[in-house]
Amino acid sequence: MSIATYTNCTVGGPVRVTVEDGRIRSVRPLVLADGDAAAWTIEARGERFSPPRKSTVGPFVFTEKQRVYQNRIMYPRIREDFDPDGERNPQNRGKSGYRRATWEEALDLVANEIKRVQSAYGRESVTAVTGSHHNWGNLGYKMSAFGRFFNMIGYTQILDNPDSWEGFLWGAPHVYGYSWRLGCPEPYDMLEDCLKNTDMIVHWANDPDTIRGGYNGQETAVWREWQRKLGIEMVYIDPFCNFTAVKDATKWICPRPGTDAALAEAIAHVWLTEGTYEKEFIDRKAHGFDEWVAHILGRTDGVPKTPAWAAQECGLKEAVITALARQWARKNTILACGARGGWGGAHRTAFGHEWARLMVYLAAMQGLGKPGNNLWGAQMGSPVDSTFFFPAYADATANIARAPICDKEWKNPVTQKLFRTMVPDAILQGRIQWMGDGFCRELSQQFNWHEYPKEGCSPVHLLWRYGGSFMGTMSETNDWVRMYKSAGLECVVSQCVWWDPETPFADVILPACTNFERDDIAEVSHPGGYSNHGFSGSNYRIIVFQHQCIDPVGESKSDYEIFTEIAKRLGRETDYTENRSIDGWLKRMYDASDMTKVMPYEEFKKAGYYVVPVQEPRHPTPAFRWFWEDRPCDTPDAYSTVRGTDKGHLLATPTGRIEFSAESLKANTPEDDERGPYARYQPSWEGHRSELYEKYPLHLISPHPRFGYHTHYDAHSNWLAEIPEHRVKGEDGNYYLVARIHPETAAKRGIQEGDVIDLFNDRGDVLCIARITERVRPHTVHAYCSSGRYVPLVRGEPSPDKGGCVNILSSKRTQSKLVAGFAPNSTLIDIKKWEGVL
Amino acid sequence: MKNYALIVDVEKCTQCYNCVLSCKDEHFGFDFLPIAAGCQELEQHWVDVRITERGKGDKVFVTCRPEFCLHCGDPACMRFGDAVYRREDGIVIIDPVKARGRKELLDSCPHGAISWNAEKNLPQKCTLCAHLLDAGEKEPRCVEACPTSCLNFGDLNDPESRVAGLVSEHEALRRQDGVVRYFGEPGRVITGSVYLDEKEVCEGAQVELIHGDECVARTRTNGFGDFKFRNAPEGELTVSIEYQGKAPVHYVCEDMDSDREIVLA
Repeated sequence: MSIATYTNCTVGGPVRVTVEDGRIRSVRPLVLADGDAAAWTIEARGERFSPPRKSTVGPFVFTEKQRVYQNRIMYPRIREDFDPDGERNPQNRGKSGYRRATWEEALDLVANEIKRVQSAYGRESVTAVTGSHHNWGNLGYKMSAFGRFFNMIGYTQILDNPDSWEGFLWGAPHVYGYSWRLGCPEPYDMLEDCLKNTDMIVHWANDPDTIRGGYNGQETAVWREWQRKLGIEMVYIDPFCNFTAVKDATKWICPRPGTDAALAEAIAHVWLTEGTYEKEFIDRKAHGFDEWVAHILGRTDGVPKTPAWAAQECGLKEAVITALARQWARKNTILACGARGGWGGAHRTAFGHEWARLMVYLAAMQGLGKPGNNLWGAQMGSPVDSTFFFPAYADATANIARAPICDKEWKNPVTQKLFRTMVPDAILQGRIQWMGDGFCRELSQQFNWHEYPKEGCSPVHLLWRYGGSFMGTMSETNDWVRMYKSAGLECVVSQCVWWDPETPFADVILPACTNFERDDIAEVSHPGGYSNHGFSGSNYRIIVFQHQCIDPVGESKSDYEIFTEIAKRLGRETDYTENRSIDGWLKRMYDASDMTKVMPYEEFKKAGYYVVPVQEPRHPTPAFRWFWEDRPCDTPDAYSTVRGTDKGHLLATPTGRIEFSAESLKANTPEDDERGPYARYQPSWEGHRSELYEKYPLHLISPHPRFGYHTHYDAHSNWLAEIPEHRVKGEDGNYYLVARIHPETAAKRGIQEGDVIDLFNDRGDVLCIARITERVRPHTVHAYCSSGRYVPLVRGEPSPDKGGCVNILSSKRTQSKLVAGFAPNSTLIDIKKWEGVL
Repeated sequence: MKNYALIVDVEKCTQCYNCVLSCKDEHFGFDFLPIAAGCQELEQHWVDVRITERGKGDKVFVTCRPEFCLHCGDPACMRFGDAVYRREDGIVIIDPVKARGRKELLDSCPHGAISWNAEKNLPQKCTLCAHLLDAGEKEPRCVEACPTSCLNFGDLNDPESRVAGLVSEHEALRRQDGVVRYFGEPGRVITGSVYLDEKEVCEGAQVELIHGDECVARTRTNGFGDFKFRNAPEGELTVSIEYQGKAPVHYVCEDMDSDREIVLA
């Protein structure tokens, strides 16, 4: 018997993997050794706080040992009725079976198809789309191995919408800049500021114990213990009494879905009429304030946005709204709108950008950056040392597609783009147009117009699907099924680890392996880029050598190897690899980091991980304190476009101020009456004031999932399916997603706890299991998004799904006329007990 | 000699299921004889989380309680002969060889902590990862995986240990004789919201909880007009609310948990 232990890293934290005779025996959280760097200590209000000496991983991490082996694609496959030289039978995608193929045959087929379509139609006829985070590691991540390959061969890039914080990107930067953070605020040293100075946290559409900072495992769970110990009040505003709120709330405030902006306006109304906001700060730092105030006070439309007005709109008590506003003004209050300050579900609604803008307005009115007052998601901003450099996957120095990690950086020669949420329309209708580049790192990118097909360009004919699935994450996803059957897509390739929902729609399937089956290198919870210093959502900075623990399962190969093999068949192997092995690439990333000052690469591989020490004494630079105090920015916010310039004391808005009236919008989209100069509440186009409400009287909200990660893990581990807060096994053996409904809603429809129920509207049917609970109001149904399971009753056809992809029911309509973001939390449905066959 | 304790601070459980899942990770697919044979992949849990939703409307809350074998001081399961034994450190083990086929062990446990491994024809339960402790590790997998201070493990014979501290601090823990002990579960919860009228909450009203003739707890409504008593005594209780210039309000609570909205006249 041979036993070995390796280090590795997941999207939910760092792990030690024990392997017995070539099979994973256990996956345990990394526990720090005595010799590792010491923990930091925060002293606040007479208490000393220090984190435990271990990583606290997300629950799904403990399923890795099952996930690595379950539901895997064991060898290359070709659809049995797909003949590249004859009938392709696209109409059978999703239905037909597969035959086993050799790697040679599958790779040759794919390479020949690339050559064929690119020479027949042009390079732009290839397109490729990725999920995020099915694996962790700088080499394996999509920007790296995938990005290098497709930039090299040329392809129509599919622009991602920022689906996890949609409205924040399209709204907040017009108020306060932070485009380089895609609209979310800087988080620096906010844990310490909160513990020292804050009296109350208003968690607005925020469930920190579920979202866990994105990639931070459960590192902040202990922060909430500390906050409770100090008596910090916790207010949760959410149509669902979420998993943090139900344990932690001093007060749960439950607005009707889609009306959060009305509540925000009423809070402002109280502050304005009672004079309880930071007037001097607003005078000094705001632009266009009076214009917006006129709207709040009703001078523009005759409707003062009073608590009584909002109470009607939101289904709340007027007295509670007034009390909230007064508490907020009286106390040092942090506004927490999601993991990175702007990740909550309220922005995934119709006009979600308006709510996001209002959040920045409210934080500004109470003194953005004043001690204890801020816009902070309560999931970042630990006192770790951010000066030690290690590249994150979104940074150039961790990316084999980018110099200097590669010698030759390939630029994608194709300028045609697609937009992710609109891909089915592009294929089915042949033409789409939209404004904005998706992940807009600069404000100006929000105003770029795109048309597909671009003038002089071919439509796409080859779709390459890489990792993950959109059936449970995009909107109106029965359209994805229809799209796959289109003859316009001459070839569909899936490069995938598991049999995911979209995998069986491919013509050729290339089995990839997990990050436990190949080497890689990464830092824990360090995505870089727009979430620079995301590691501050963890209590330690831990840099990990991700050892290959086991041989690739079945005939699977690493993504890098697959791309190398295809490149070879295109005559471009060296162009892709630069004659470098995986280890050669990893060493280049290592050499670009400060790790070389700590130990040589080979020693690091043996050690497996390194904990970056905190420099004592620390010199905290809390977020926005510089702005409150009118100093140049002193935080380590490296990608800021104004920090370190002569405008370093300003925000990156046209006026440098907090723009209650946005000059960027006035200049670029003066005709837009939905995202106008100032933010305002507008009833949802699919909500209680829309026509559809008569037919479908229930709001469906689908926040980010608690037990899976994106669509990952959910379908890859039955251990998660056995968690009764996540799924429940039906009599037919299917693990149904839990849908939470109020007792009144259930009683009216004769639904009992545990019944299989049909969530339906004109877009489709999704079968879930009924959980009857007080945690939603009678008008709301809650079911988590990101189902990794997709089980249509009629295989390969839009039909009732018992996997739980509730996004089938969400409209593909954009947030507003000119804002391309999506709005899955503006979905109306009805429910009934399912009486049909299962 | 060690005298192990696993002390569960119920209030700190966030229902993350790390304990449940780390247990599966440890025990599925591998045997650790003579302590434990591997568990079933599905439909068997040696640790589970019992979640109870309580309260109504905007006062809804849950209590969640990770449930293990208690490793009782005087285990009922041991009355079934030599298939079960209690170690000197307190851990109770079902012998994975001698217990084969002994389904009657399931009914012996008053806490329902023993589950049936149908694939191995074997009654099984939590071993507190004794195979790891015996190999020198500090704590079971569930405790290592717990992200909060809900699960606390250590040696009661070490007066400096956290568990010894907790036992000396909480009388409830001293009344339990197993290795696994619980504290911090909210008892009866009495809540309410007090309003002056439809426009204003009533902050600072004095609220008393009266049991018999005795005031057992007293608080004031907070900035939202809310009050909350945790661990109210059983039986008939009267809530009395007073606020300057308003008629006092008294009402009787009969339910286990109670929540009222009161508009003062």
